[in-house]
Parts: sequence; structure tokens; C-alpha cells
Amino acid sequence: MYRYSTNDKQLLAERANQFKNQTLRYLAGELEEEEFRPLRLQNGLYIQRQAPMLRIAVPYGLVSSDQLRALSSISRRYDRGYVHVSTRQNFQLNWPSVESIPDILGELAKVDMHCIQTSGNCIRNTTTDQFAGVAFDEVEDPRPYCELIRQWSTLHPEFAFLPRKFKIAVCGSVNDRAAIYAHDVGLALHHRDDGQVGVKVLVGGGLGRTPVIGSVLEESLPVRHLITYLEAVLRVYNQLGRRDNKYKARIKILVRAMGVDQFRAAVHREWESLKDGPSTLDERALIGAKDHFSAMPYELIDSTASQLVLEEQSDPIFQRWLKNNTHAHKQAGYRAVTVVLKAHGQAPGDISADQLDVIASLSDEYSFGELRNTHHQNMVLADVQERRLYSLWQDLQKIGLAGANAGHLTDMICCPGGDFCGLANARSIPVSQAINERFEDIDYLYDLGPIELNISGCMNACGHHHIGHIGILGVDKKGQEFFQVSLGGKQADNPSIGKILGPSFSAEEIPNVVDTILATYVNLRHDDELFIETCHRVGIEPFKESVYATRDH
Amino acid sequence: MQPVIIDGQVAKDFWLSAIEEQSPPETGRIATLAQWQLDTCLPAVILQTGDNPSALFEHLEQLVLIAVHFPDMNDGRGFSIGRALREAGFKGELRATGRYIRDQLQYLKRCGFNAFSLPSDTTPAAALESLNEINIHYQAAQDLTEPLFKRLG
Repeated sequence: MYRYSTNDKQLLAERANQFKNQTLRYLAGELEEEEFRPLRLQNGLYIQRQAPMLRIAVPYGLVSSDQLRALSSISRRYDRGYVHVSTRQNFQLNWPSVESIPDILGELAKVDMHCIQTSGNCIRNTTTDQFAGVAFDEVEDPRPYCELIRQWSTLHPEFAFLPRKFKIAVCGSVNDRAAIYAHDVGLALHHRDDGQVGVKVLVGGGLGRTPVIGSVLEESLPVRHLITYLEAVLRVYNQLGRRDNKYKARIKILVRAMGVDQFRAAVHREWESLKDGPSTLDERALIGAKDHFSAMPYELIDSTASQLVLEEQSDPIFQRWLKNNTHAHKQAGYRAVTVVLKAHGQAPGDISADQLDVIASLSDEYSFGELRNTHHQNMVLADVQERRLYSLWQDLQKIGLAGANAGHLTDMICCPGGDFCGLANARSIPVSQAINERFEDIDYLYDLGPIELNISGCMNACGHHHIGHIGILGVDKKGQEFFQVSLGGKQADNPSIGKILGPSFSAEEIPNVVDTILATYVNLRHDDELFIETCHRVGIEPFKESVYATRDH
Repeated sequence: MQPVIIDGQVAKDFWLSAIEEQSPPETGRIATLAQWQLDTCLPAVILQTGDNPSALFEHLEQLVLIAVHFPDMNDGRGFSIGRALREAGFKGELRATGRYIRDQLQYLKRCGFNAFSLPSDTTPAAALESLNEINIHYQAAQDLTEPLFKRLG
């Protein structure tokens, strides 16, 4: 992974010191609340319902075992001994005190970590495929480009006070695992006919109050123009994006108002003076970036033999885990392993300090000391030898992280909701836990096949409910929490926004509603038809009928 | 009068602030964009963050001072205006005025501003300190022609 140079380290130290002074000025009354607000947000510090929340950047989801150990230590000493993995591949601490933040930032800086631009109206942490660099279906490793974008966007002087937040996601594989259609800018890498790497540029996607699937800005931009082109896009947005209404300030609203063709024309006008300028990625820059992500020292393995070892393991639970939680690897004899953070009694994406320590050691032992956070709020050990999978699975069982439900109903995406977040209308975590308890039967889950269930506690949609196959949204009705259910959302491969089923439900009703939806699917499905395929084939009506027919009034 | 900082030095401000009602502005007073558009020979003009800087592009050589007024620290359009004016070749004094805060000074400098009418609660010493808080910059901007990845080679 990218190792910090002395320059990167110096920048972190200076930034931590700068924020320390800003915090001291704020605590001394020299900085007004509204002046401190954007400064603290751009350093990851939210003031939440019960306590501050600190969001720690994990650039494109990559983290080392040493960083994890530092994090677990910080979470024990400054927080309550656990951290939360967010949908944008970052970590969150839910209970630090404002006074301790400069110290936490100082400690994070020692292991090359920080909270820069994890919040605020600026370019946020760039996200990507959790299997970047190892995925079997990968066309081009997105990590070097993510790193170049990280550098370009970090403390960019022109784009620190945008109309609203700005999120970029990069995908380099056939299957999009980075939800690039749901980002302000989504980038898909491919190989062009002329042999160069090309970038398909999507703009104006996003969820929130107004869910929009991104539009194509460029089909195939030669990758050397990546940075100058992004700069042009941001300039147009910075100057023309709405600032009068924060709900209409995202780039998707601007793109819609201008129309994508007009928007593209405006970008091209800005780009004229930037194109082929100093920020152009010449061959040396690209090679330099790629050097940071050279292949791991893999062993040459006869994969036929190592797969045979796996087949011989007779434990059906292991076999299920193997099927659901391991992913095909570029390198023969290796697989990428998903560690699902959705255990009973835990909020989705939470991991305790003790578990962090163990998983850090496991990554040293099995996966070159690196881990990835995923958009689905899980963690990944990306480079595990097939013949060692059984042993890893046994080790994961010891810390309760061997759940074999990756990609299935109970592997939910869920925002922190009303238990933590000041914006939420409803508590999403108890709903996720009720679903988790209701659908314990792993045979049934397995029979249902892959299903994405996403829960948001309010229409800001941090739980990505719009693009869940089943989406659940917390709404407030006269001070009471209710939940709206939608079906048929999809994040990739012809992405779509889910359709609302009908009137909302109480929290208690949700497990039954989900149960009825699933039973309806089982009745209607053709052989081997996935849940989402059935949804799209039959539409919402049959589900609506069965759900509201059985509902008590 | 609040001091100004020009090119990293505390300086005396010789310019009088723009007044909308006065037309044409007296000698030594900064013109509003509307006033300037009536007489493009005027040497000093102030833009609001919603103004399009390209209105000035053909007259940049005659202009001695362009000020950009920030109505609110969160209105980041002025940063793009600064860069646009410098990229269009403006060599004179580019001044930030209004309600930005000292913590934004270095970003303003990187976007091409070389002069700052200081916010009322900011001392010149504090401002000079804020102008140089961070010494590592990844991007090319008005102060650095090349991004870090090229400067390293």
C-alpha cells in the first residue's frame, strides 16, 4: 500500500498542529461557534446527539495492521473500546471528548492517519472497490489513481468551501463494487482501443433527499487528463452550484438544472486552460503512483491442489463461509476474505478494540499485514492462501467474526441513526438488530441468495436505502418513528433507485414486512432467479399486495 | 483603519472602500463592478463572489487592484475568482476583503491573492502566522506551478 513519505508526514504534523491551535482558540472563545464549525468538520469532528463523533480517514479503504492496533489503543483510551466502519470506508469514533481531539489527531498522525476532509463542504475521502488490486474481474487497479486523487484533493486551496460535500468513487473492475453511480463523481477505469487507460466519468449521482443515478460526462477520457479534468468539474461546481439552499446544493441539482450537455460544455470551457497543464499525469507520474501498489510477494501455488484441500473440508458451515465470504483472486491459490461485521447484538459495522487487535494479527499472519474497509461496512483480508482459509476461519470464529452471511440479507448496510446522529428521524440500529434476530436461520438465508438490505435513519440516506434491493428509511410522523420500505434498488450494473412499497410501518412491524416480502419472492421466483431479478421482473405490485394484505390495521 | 497585508508585509491601505451610491468614484476610491463598467479606465475594482471575473479579462493590464469581497467565510466562489484572474494574466494587487477568517488566508494566498484587508478580530501578527501554517502542498496552484508528484522527480 501507499507508504507515507516525509512530505506526507510533515503535512499531517502541520495540519494536526494547526487544528490544535484552532481548537484552543475555540475553547478560549476566540473563534465563534460558526467559524469553528467548518474547520472542525474538515478535520472530521461532528458534534452529535450525545457526544462528538470523530471520523477517521481511511484513504480508499486501505489500512495496515499497525494502524489498526493504534486505532484499537486510541479507542480504548479516548473512547469506549470500539470503532465503527462507515459506508465510505472510513472509521468513526462515537464518544470522544472535544478536548481530546487534538491528542487523538496527534496519535493518529504517528501512524500516518488523520481526519482531514472526512466531513465538511469539501472533497471527501475517495473510495473504491474493496478488492482493488486483487479482484479477478479487475481491468485496471484503481488504487494508484485513488492515491493521485487523494493528493490532489487534500487541502486543495480552491475547493475547501464548496457549496456542499463532494464524493468521488473509482472502480476498475467489470462489476462495480464502489457504487460509482451514486457519487458526485464516479470514475470507471477501462482500456481504450488506443491502448491507454481510459476513464468513464459520471457526474451528479447521489442519494439523500433527491436520489439520482449519475449521468455520463465522458465515455472515455484518457487517464493522463484525470486531474485537470476533475479540476475543471470542481471549478464549474464551485462557481455555479447553489449556495442558497443546502438541500439543493449538491452537484446533482446543478447538473439537472443545466442539463448534462450544458454542464459538459461549461466543464470543457474551464478545461481548455487546464488541459495538458502541469497537473497532467505523464508517464512518470503514473509509474510513480503505480510503484506504491506493486503486487504482494505471492507464492506460486498450484491452485488445483489447494482447491482440493478446500473441497476436502467437510464442515458445512465452513463451506458456506467459503462460498459467501471469499472472493476470486487474480493470483492462483489465493482468495480475498470478507469479515462480516454484523454480529448479533452489535450495530452493523461496529468492531471492538479486542477484535481489532486480533484481526490486525490475523492480517499479519495471513494477508501481508493489510486490510480494507468496505462500502458494506465490513472488512477484507485481501490476500489469503486458499490452503490456509480453514485455519483463518477457525481463528475468526474465536472472535465471533466468522459470520457466513456476506452478501446476504443480514449483511446489512445501516447508518448510525437516531441512537447517535443528530440528523436522524428514527433509530435504524434496533431495526437492523430485529431483522438480524428474525432471520437467524442460515439455511433460509442461504436459500434466499444474495440480497442487499440497506437502512437509513433519515432521508439523508447515509445507509444508502435507495440502492438497497430492500431499502428501509426512518421517517418522523408527529414525533413518532416510522419506516418506509422500498424495493428494487440496485447499486451497479444498470443501477436503479428503489420504489416505495406504500404507507410506512412501525419498527415492530418491520421484521414481519421483510418476512412477507421474502416469502413473496420465494413464491414468485423462477429457478435460480435472484431476489433483485424477481423484483424487476414482477414489479412492486405483488409485494405490495401481500405486505398490505397481511398487515394488521 | 484596519491594516492590510500586502505580499507578506503589514502595509498602509491607500485605497478608500467602494461606495455604491457614489458615481463616478473619486480618485483613490475602489469602484464597484457597475461603476467600473461605466468607465473601464478606473484602476481599482471590487467584485462580489457572484460576479463573473471574465468581465475584467480584457482590461487586466490597466487594473492596479482587484478586490474580491467575501460575504461569508463559507462562500468559496471567491477562491475560484482569484485563480481565474491570475490565470487570465492579472499581475496587479489581488485583495481579499470581507468576512473570511484568518484560517483561510493560506488557501487565499495559494489561489493568487497577495493582499488581505484583515477581518476586524485578526491582528497582523496572527495573520502572518496563518499565511504560512502548512508548508507541504500537493497541488499546483498560483504559488507552485507543479504538483508535488512532479516536484519530487
